[in-house]
Amino acid sequence: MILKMISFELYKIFKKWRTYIGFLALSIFIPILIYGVSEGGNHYQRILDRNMGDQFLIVGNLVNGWYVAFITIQAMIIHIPFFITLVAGDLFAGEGSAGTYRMLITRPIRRETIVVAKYIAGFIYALVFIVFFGLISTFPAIYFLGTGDLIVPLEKIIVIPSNEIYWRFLLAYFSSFISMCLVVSLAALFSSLVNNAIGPIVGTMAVIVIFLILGELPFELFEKISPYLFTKYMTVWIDSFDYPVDFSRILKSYAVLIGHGILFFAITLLNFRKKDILI
Amino acid sequence: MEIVLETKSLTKKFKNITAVDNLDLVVYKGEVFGFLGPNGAGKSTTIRMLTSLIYPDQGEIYLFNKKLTANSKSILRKVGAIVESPDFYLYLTAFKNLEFLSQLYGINPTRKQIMEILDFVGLSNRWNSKVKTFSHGMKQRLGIAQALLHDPDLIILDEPTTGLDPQGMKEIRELVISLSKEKGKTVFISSHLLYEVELIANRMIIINRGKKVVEGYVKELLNEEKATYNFRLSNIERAKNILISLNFELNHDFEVNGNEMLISTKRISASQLNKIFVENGIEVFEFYRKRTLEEYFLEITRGQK
Amino acid sequence: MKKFALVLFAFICFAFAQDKNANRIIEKIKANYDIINDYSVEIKGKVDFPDAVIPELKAKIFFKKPDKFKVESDNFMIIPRQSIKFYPDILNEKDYSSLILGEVEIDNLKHFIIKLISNNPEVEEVVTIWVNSENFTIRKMNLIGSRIGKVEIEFFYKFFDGKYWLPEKMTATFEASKILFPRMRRFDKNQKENSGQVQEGKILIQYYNYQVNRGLEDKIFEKKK
Repeated sequence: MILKMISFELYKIFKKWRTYIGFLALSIFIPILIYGVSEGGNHYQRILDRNMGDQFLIVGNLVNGWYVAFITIQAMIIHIPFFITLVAGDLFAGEGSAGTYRMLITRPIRRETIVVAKYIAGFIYALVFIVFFGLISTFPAIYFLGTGDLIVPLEKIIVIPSNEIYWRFLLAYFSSFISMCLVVSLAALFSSLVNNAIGPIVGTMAVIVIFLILGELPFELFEKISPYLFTKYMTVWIDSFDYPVDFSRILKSYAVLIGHGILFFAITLLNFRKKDILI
Repeated sequence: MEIVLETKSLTKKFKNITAVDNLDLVVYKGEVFGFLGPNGAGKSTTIRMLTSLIYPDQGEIYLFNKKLTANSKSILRKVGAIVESPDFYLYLTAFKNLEFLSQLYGINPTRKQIMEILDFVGLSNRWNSKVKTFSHGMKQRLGIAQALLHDPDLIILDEPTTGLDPQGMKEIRELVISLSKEKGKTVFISSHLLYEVELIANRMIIINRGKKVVEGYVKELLNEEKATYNFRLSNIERAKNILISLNFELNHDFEVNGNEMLISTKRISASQLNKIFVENGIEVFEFYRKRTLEEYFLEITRGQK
Repeated sequence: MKKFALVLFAFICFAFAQDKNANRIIEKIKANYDIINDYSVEIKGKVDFPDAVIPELKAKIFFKKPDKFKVESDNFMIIPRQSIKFYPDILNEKDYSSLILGEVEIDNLKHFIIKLISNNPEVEEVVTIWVNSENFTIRKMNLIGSRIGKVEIEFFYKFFDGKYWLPEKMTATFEASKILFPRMRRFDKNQKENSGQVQEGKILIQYYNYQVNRGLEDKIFEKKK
């Protein structure tokens, strides 16, 4: 039954227009980004050349497909949770607003099965979205801009040799998937509490944005609470581009994210088991 | 008679409001059971409890002699229901909705079976249309189709004719009667329209403010009531004296309103009254039976009886 | 007054003599490279840059007189321009002043210290070179300018094919803060403010498989469109 429920949930997800907003947005944004970088004459390379002065030369294809893929992830850090939330926020609330809870719950299915199926369907959607994101942000960029080492211009400047890039990107996308599973969990929790998807979408994004801002404020109080904000761990994907990769840090982030995900799931389950379907 | 559904002291409160208050009812196998009450009487709350959508605060529900709370999964397999308006996944076709919803009963109906059900409710020509293109009446019929898909023993219909035009109401009534007569199903149907229940139910219960007001066979309840006739006469004063001479009490057994007279009686039929008036030289311009089950129902629910 | 005129004359003579000596040394340096029309060489490079992790570079350098060059590599790296030409750009200019600052022993060999200053007022860099007194190769180079800060380059030479003095190793030390990498914002961390301390960066380049005067064609240096 659970498999049928999951396939049913997935069918519903992929029959809705809102599901494709994220795919559409990426399909528009990423080609523009690639075009901008290739036609814009390697803006970053030019800045770097200028900053190097006359005495130094930059060697290698710096602004390549991998670099674009990397800045795409960086650029989409806020947007991807939004696209995920658009769908996950509707998982339960969509049934409420459409009145289909009544159809669903009067069937001989345990409510726990419904919750599990909806969560798994949400995770699968997140996986599909991240895979799509990974494919669309790497393949066209590599096709147009080529490959080479990847420069990661963050707090540290890390240059990742080309032979290490594949597994690092795979790890980054997997980490993004884990983060997005948490977004699914949170949005689904909010979704199970109300009967309109707007609340969960806005609520989830508000939590993420507020936590990100709080975690960044350079005041002692906020620096102290920062480790307790799960959003701090949602950027775990970026650790894939550290040198050397701190796997213990990544695993710790996974543990925090999965732990929060389980907590949100448990609250949803407990609430939904006893929830009166009044609409 | 085999009991299909029974509630004992069923109670549900929402904050300070008691929506259902110690409700006891029994539904027997094969009958069409009318569940009546005005809007807000607690009908939908009761039906939501019967279908596990909400949980009672007190009392028990037995379906097929099993406690619902402990056996909801196996019990709901034998129940088909429409709770309030049947809402579907609007972005899916009628066929796909039925296919999915039946799979949730653990059955895999063939295309032919689904088409047969759609045909039964008169929607076979719209099987591939998205539900968002359906009228309210079509959705109601599709609702009945989904409730029948898994061949349930008990069908619970919550105000299935609400919002329908007279033709649509008639079609649903005929559908319910055929479910009982042709398919031998037990039907639990709620309504706030008494005449509707009068037309299709064997037994009924009337509830008000969550409490049972009366329960019994529709025919018995009809017999219980007094017949009330409205007479428009040429000489009211004379008619009044005749009735008093026949031991009718003014303002109890009859009322006078202008040249009209409202007479309640079980003793004398309308035709006999007509004959008496005519024989006594009173011209009868018009007479009709005033009291209907509808009025009886309204009186009960107003607490006037 | 006479005394002053005498001192001034003596100074001018000294400076002229100095200039003449310095020019002679520079001519000998240039002679070392004049016999190299073109070369190609494989390099391995390593950059030690504060707050940066840059893997070892493998590349191939092609050079052709007067100033055509190409670095062929899939890797990313920063290399000093002098790692290709082996001498400061100022020596290609016509109008510059040179001055011998003295002599110093490096690796038990006498080296001349020569200061090179461009007479073009727009060029603000001051270059000092340490020249081997025996083979007239540039052992060390010091470049100072407000834009580049201080860059110090050392060459370690080998005599190839019995004709050419070419470096087999080069090290460059520079002020890392002068090289500004544009950085992205990271959401999960507060970016550290620059402490203002001068941090050193180092580049090490090793040269292998020199191919000198093999007649490199110009099309090698054409940029791919």
